[in-house]
Amino acid sequence: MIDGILTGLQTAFSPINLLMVFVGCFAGTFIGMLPGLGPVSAIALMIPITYGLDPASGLILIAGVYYGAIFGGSTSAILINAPGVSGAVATAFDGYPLAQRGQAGKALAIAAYGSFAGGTVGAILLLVFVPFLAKVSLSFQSADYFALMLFGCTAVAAFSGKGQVVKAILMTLLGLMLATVGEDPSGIQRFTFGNADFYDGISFLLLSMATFALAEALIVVLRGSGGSATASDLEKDKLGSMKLSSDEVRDIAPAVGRSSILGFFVGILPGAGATIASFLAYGMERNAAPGDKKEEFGDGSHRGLAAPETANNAASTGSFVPLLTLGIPGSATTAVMLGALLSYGVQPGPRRYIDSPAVFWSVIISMYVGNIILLVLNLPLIPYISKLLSVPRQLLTPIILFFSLMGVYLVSFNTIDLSMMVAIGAIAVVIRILDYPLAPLLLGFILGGMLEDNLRRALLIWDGSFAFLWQRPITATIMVITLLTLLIPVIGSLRDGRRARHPDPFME
Amino acid sequence: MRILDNKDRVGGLLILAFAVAYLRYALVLPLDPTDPNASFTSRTLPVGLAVASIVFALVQLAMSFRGGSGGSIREAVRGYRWRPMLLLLVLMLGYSLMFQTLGFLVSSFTFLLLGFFIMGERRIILSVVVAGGLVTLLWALLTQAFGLFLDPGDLMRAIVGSAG
Amino acid sequence: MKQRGLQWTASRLARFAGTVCLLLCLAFSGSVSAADRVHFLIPGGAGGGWDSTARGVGEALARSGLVEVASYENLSGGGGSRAMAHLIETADRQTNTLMISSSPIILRSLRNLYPQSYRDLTPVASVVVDYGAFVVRVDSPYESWQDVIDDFSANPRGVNIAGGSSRASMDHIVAALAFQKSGVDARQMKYIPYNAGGHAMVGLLSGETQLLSTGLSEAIALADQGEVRILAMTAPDRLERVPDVPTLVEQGVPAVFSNWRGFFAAPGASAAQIQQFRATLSALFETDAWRTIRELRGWTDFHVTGDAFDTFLDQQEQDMAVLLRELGLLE
Repeated sequence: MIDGILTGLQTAFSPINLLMVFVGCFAGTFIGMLPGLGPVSAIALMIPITYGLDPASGLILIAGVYYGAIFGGSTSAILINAPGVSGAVATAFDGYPLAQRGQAGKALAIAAYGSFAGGTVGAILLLVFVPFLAKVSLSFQSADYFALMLFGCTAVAAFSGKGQVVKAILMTLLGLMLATVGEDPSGIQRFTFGNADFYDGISFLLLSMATFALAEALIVVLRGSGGSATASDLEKDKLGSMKLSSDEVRDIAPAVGRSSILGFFVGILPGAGATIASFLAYGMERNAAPGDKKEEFGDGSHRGLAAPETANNAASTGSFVPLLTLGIPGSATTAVMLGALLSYGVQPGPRRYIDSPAVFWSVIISMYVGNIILLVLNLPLIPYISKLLSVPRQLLTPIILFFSLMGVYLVSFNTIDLSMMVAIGAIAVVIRILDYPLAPLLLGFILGGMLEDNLRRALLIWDGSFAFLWQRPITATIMVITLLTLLIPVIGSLRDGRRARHPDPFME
Repeated sequence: MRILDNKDRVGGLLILAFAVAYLRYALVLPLDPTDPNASFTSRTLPVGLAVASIVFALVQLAMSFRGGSGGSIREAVRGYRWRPMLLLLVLMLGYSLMFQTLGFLVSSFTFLLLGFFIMGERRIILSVVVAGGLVTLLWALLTQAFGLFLDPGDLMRAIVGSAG
Repeated sequence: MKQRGLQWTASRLARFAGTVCLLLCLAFSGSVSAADRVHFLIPGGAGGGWDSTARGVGEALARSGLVEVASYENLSGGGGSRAMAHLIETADRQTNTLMISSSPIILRSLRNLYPQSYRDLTPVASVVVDYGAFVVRVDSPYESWQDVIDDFSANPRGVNIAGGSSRASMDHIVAALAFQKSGVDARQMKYIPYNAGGHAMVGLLSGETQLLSTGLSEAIALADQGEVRILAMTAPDRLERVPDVPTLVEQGVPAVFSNWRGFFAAPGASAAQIQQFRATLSALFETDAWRTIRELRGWTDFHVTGDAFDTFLDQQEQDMAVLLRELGLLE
């Protein structure tokens, strides 16, 4: 194993490969900023370009693109509220408000440090526990995934502050309903009204661009706040600043630590992945935060940004466990990575791990080098990237709209999706005016499909009985944690409420 | 109409209407003919979601009457600039409808130019340069570097002749 | 800001003019060598199975000099039907276009999920094939296909069959074919749908299902890792790549199924045009460029062309219709 690691290091740190990872990170960052081109398409598009290269260099280039694209995705989520991949949705929750407060540089820096920490912890856990982890990734069954998705839904609590409980629940339900459009697991078309354009359901990107990026850009136009340049002019000097005070670092560090570990272990599970990890980390940090910090979530909390961003990256690293130890791609991204590995003649899996550890370790190490270079490359770039926001509003708004439209077009190349997106965007503006939160809608939508799939599978396997809820230890444990997460605040507020002679928890 | 001037109430009503319509279709969704005894069918979750939404929407409505929750809509939209926002919506719709006719380059360039104009940008040269530069850059990246196909549009085909 | 914007303007103006020229040149150059270009229409997004096959074929054609320019257009929607509709609508200008498709086109048309069928297009030729494979864990008590059938006959609800797509789509239908041809009631099958082949594989390994129905190429990759065994597959004869994997036919089950990938041209394409497409694709199989790409991707050649391709499609449609009717999925 040591030999393998040394060979891997030698390969990864040769000058030509360092150059490759540099180019990859750079290209990836910019490609990833375009909402439609997440890590999956970025890698798919880069594979033919890397054909002529030596396999090791090609892989390292791809690793660079991969990390670059993930960071690029967070960038557009933070700067213009346009999460192009589902893993970046939770990043937008607090990253965008932070950027709006004139702290774009700081937000990007937190994201970069968080990603780096998540990737590092992930890589260390990978190095130490690989043989053992293959078993872990296979210990979860559909019933357990169902419980995990349900637990993920509790992140909605973060949007149910003062008197917003019912609204947050309603919007989650709406998201779940939208997720039912299209072909269901039993092959039935639901809510398609015979229209072929609905067969594949509503795409995540379309919904996230319409409800987050479009709605936000249009609301800014409505409020006219961007029209007067004074507000943004005042902040412009601070915009690029990425200085974190030691208090802030101390505030974020524990959240980063917890989220790395949580993210990694969720990432190992082939059916869960980076998105669930980011939601769980976000929900967990909000629940763990002390009272006053809790209020900041959704409103530009540093912890609320660091947690999902860290977990997201740790989970991406974790998702290499099933790929490298079993040869099974657990997510769309690892599926594309598998394609890339195969086209270089590297077949990942336990046999590879035993037969030729050098290749195995050089893959892991070159992935990790991508993570380091990304930090080295992006920290100096952040001040410039965040200056994007100082582009005058009258130019920026149409550009944001254009890039959101292009992002959706690039996924399906279908202009009907564009019309649908504009319609949903208009509805989202109405929802915003009525003060209903849109984040739970997207959360419900993302989790909805997986929730139903896993529940239906579990019920099929258990012959229609719900016994798995208490007979499977993992399911039962997660269900208990879910219930506690939901009940503790209610009990707490009931007790506080009694003290203050306010018996109804909904009325606070 | 004053009774409708409440954000929570109108929101609750809209969701209630949506949920009722959704429920109407959820109740008649086709079932899997090969699995008549399934306990969890294609209808189960939609019906459950619709019923839950109706219940919570009613709770929301009740709260807006009894608890006095939800602010005034008129208050909230005071001073809103509707014109540019609606124009941008129309512009985006036009973009999606004209895309196939005008092609990527022309429609995107026009979209950005008109967008800048709606937002109040009157420096024509600057607008043309920014729009042209962005569209060209994106076009070059996507088609030349990545080999993606962007529709040149019926218009371009009519001018240049059929290129397939 | 205003000042900076203007300086910016001046310096960019010259560059912009240059770009416009370049752009027009490129736009025109596309139409010049029309006879030597092939435009691939892909009914799904970048990175999928259709996409990789079309791009693989196009690249081999371009590298070996059989065509000068290969271009690719992705158009997803409606499970593939949007691209078909597009090809039919714009048929008169799609003379250089080849649309990639595969067996599900027949299945989905039969189930009335598509408003069109492959008959609305002009079939050209198939290029590669994947067979259905049935996979169990290495420690599974099943040693042969017959063991599965015996167990199933004793207790149909005891065999959970995983697949990477929803009910009534490929993995389910192939499994149903194998069960039906084994003489048991395929309607009793307990099919557990997953949303991707990889997830179905995890389901098998986690122990919640006993049998996995998937594509052979995916199954081979997994069996190489020593985690699973392939009990049987749906090719007519054993394959060179996996000489140890028995066919269903040799185990006494007359179930043969080929999930082909192939190309279609626009409706009303001229006979000469189709002839040229077929000649080009036939030449492809002899090139080194194709052999290299095929080896890397683990594809199996499946070259059915000319009238034989039409007959083959008709036959597959008939077989599937019979099966769907017996399963109660079709009146």
